[in-house]
Amino acid sequence: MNVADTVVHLVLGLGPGAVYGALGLGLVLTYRGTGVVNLAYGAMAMYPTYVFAELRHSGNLVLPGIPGTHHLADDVGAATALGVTMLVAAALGLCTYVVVARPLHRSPPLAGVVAAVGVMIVLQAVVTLRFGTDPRTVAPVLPVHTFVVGGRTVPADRLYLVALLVVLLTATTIVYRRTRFGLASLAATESAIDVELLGRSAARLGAVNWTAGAMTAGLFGVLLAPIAGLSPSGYPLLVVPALVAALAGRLLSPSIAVVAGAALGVFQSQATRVPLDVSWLGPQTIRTVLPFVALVGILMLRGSPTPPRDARPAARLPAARTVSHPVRVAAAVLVAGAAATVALQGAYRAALVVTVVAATLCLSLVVLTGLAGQVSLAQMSFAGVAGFGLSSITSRWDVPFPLSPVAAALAAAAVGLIIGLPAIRARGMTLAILTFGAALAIEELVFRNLSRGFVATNEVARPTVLGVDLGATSTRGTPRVAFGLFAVTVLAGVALGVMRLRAGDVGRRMLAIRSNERAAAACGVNVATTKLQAFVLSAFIAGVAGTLAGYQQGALSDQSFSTSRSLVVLAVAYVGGIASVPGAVVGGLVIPGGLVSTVADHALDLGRYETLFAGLAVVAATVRRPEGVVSPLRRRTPT
Amino acid sequence: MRLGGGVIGRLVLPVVAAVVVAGCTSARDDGDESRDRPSGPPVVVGFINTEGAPLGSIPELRIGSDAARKYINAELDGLNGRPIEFEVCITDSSPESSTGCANRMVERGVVAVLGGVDLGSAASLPILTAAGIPYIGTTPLLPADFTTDGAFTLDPGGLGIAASATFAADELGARRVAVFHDDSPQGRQLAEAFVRPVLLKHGLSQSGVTLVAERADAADVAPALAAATRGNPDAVIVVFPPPACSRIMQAKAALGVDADMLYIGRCAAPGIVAAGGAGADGAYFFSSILNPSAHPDDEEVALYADKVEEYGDGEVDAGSYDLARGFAVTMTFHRRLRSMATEIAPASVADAFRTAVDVPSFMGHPFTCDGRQGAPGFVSLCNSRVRIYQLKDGRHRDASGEWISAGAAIAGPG
Repeated sequence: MNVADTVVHLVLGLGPGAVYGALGLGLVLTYRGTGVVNLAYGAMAMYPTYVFAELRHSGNLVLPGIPGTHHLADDVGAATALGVTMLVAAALGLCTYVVVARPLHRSPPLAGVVAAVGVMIVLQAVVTLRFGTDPRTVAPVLPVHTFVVGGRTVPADRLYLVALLVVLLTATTIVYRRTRFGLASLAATESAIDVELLGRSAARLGAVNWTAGAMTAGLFGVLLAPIAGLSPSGYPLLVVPALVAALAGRLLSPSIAVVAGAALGVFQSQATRVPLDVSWLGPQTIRTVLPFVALVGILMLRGSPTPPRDARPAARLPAARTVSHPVRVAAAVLVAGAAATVALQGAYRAALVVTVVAATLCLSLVVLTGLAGQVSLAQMSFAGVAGFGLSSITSRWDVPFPLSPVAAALAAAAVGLIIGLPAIRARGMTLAILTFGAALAIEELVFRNLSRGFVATNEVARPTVLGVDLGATSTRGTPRVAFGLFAVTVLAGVALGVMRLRAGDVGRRMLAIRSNERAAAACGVNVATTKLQAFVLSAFIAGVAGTLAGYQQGALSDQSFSTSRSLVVLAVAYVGGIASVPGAVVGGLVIPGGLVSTVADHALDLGRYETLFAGLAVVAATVRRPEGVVSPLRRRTPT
Repeated sequence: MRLGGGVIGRLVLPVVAAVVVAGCTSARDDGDESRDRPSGPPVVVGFINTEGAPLGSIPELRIGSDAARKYINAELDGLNGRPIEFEVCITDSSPESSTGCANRMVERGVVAVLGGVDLGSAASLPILTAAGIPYIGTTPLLPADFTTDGAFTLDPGGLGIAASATFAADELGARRVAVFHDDSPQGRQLAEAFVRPVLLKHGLSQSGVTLVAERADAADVAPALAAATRGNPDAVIVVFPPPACSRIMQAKAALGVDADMLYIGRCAAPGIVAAGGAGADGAYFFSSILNPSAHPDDEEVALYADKVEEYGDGEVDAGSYDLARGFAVTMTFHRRLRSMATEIAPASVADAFRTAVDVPSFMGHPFTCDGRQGAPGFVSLCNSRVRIYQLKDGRHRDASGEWISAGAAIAGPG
């Protein structure tokens, strides 16, 4: 390790680090305005950056929702392009605030997460439609200089980025410490009502902060583009390091967010120098997972087993009603599903199985979120643990069906127990982010390592019982009727179990902690145990879904259970109605690749616009009907 | 419509909301058949490709293939007097959409499926092979593309980088090589199982080969490239997908790296190279087909340039590597089947490819589908030979001057 190397990697790390810090700061600003952690923040950096890139490339201004392009000039200078881009970023920020963030300020935190997922899908779709998916390069905005350290050439633009970040932080600090607007914004984070009583408009404060956050995202998105390249898949993920930075400052401190972001960038850069001889511990693990694990530790230590006495009352989740005749409902699901399995052919039957698997996943969220009020962005991780587990169990140890899927689902339940531990001390948005981090860690550490390159595939043996083949694949398209009936039977069984759970003691204890943890504890409910029960049961059900997906796909890769899919599952579960079995079935119907999607595609040939419509629908459904489509009445009272 | 209220809202909302990320769109492409001469019943061939997906999009493969199809129908009497018709299915890279595409192919009764790139091939190939439909691939990326019995892959994909390793050691005389690879399962395996062993077989010492991994979507690839080039290696073998290549080229220039850089073939795409700027100059790329700009006098290259201009959509540069590969796969498919005496059906098409030995391929090295062209277990791979080209002053030149077998490099004696 020589000094020159250390300096080189320090400077190189400061480039992305400055952007992480700036985006972390922007997340803090948006949180101050609304109390919403904007998971679409990376995507909000992406759109203005595309606008800038197009302006510089062709002189065309491309605006969402407005057809065609507007040719401003043949050669648009960097300063002009940046000015126009900032206006677009401000408009985008204001628009998302008015349409999404503001209406959701009294909704459950989960509604904010789902709406942000919808915004992310919309922005990705708009970028794909208007700019294409080819990666773009952006001409440098900052001066291109290099200097030499110990014989090594180093680009200077990273240092200019840091200088800009320092300017931004200084300005932010002055505004929030020295101006009435800044002080009122801080107060609004604590209590919007108190600020209103003091004669300031919380909505206006929120709008200004949200817009400032969006402009920060746009500015540093543009500055990062020459280094990072620009693609619709890469930029939205910038929210992950930005979240690490913002959470290090408890979503309240811009200066800690900035320092944490810069430190993260430098850490990631320095980590590239460490030679690794541990095959399962890839460099990505060191650079991405370790900071998140550290953050989990910090957040858990800061959390408390019970919410503070003066905690703001959380908005209610939709009512979770008991079902009078659970057996009849389960039988109805079974009969309808079986009839559909027999009646549908080819692509439609495959879509039905996708629907059944997704509905089972949604049921896992009914238990965890609908009954127990806990949040998880890691459901696909539970499913993946079971899916890959099933592959191992059937291929290595030859465990027969049906023991094999049960054992795999139990493995998922064990992971659920571990991931559920933070829930004892963390809740709401913090818990959502912790589970998101856990999901990323599982994807990096487990799924990517189990996907062993070109030669080995993670094959799942066909399920057979008493000589009857229940496997999915056939010579006339997948899946076979026998597998469809098997999957539908599993769904009906899980649905029956969830309905019985709701009516039993465990379900009532879960609802008690969902309503009020302190009151539940006072009534003798063991809050920690009940939360863990919810996580274990939920992970088991998600694991069951994962085994179905494994049987359906036959071979698994790290793409089969991605974290982004967890977000989509959460979105459809929420849109369907997260506290009811029918809601879960609706969620399964509307999942990507599910029945409704397939029918709509075949009948309407929506083609390239389907993703856009989907994102808009998720946003609209969340904002207009935060309790879900199936929710009978729009009311906020719990059971 | 008020989304929140009433029965209509409840019914319509899920319908609209359902049309989410995945799905599979299909377009029966009847093309401009006004010039078609063949009059028999059409031979329906599937074409699965990834386009417009966040993970990637290669429409050039489809456009090139379709240009060849139109040319075959218009000027070569189709396939034994029958016009070729494409059943095109576009996936978004999710297993669900690939499954949907495969099912559509089975339903439509296609005689074979051409690729295209399918990032969900683990899900789609079992369906196709179970139905007995052969898959003729051009862009193998995932294990299933190499290891599926019933699939026939005419291009080594990323495996061609093993040939680049041979070239670096033997022709460039590199003794210290950094392998800079994508931190993905495929990138890791390419580097560890196919590049490093080949370099060692060609005389490099253990300490002469350094492996450095980085994610293709990392915010900045410069730190990892700086780490890879810390010891001033003679050559850097870059195992990254195309979007990252231009950033690596830029980082090379920014860091003043002067080692020879060897990239995978698809990184030679004009857009990638242009974005790479000065850092792209001098770079080496492998290619499974003749690079049109390096062999303008070759008969097949001239035919490609002529016909793609006439039958292509006019928007894609004929110099596009993917456009040429798309054109070539359809031409090779036609070449293999046009002499078939039996009825064109899935089984007979599969048989024609399964028994192929040294069959000439369009713009490429003859292919053989004996299951022994790559590493053990790569039963699908029919051709692993590539040429190495160098980009110099904006033009590609044939640096290897011959086809190099990646399979032989991997399986050959140490």
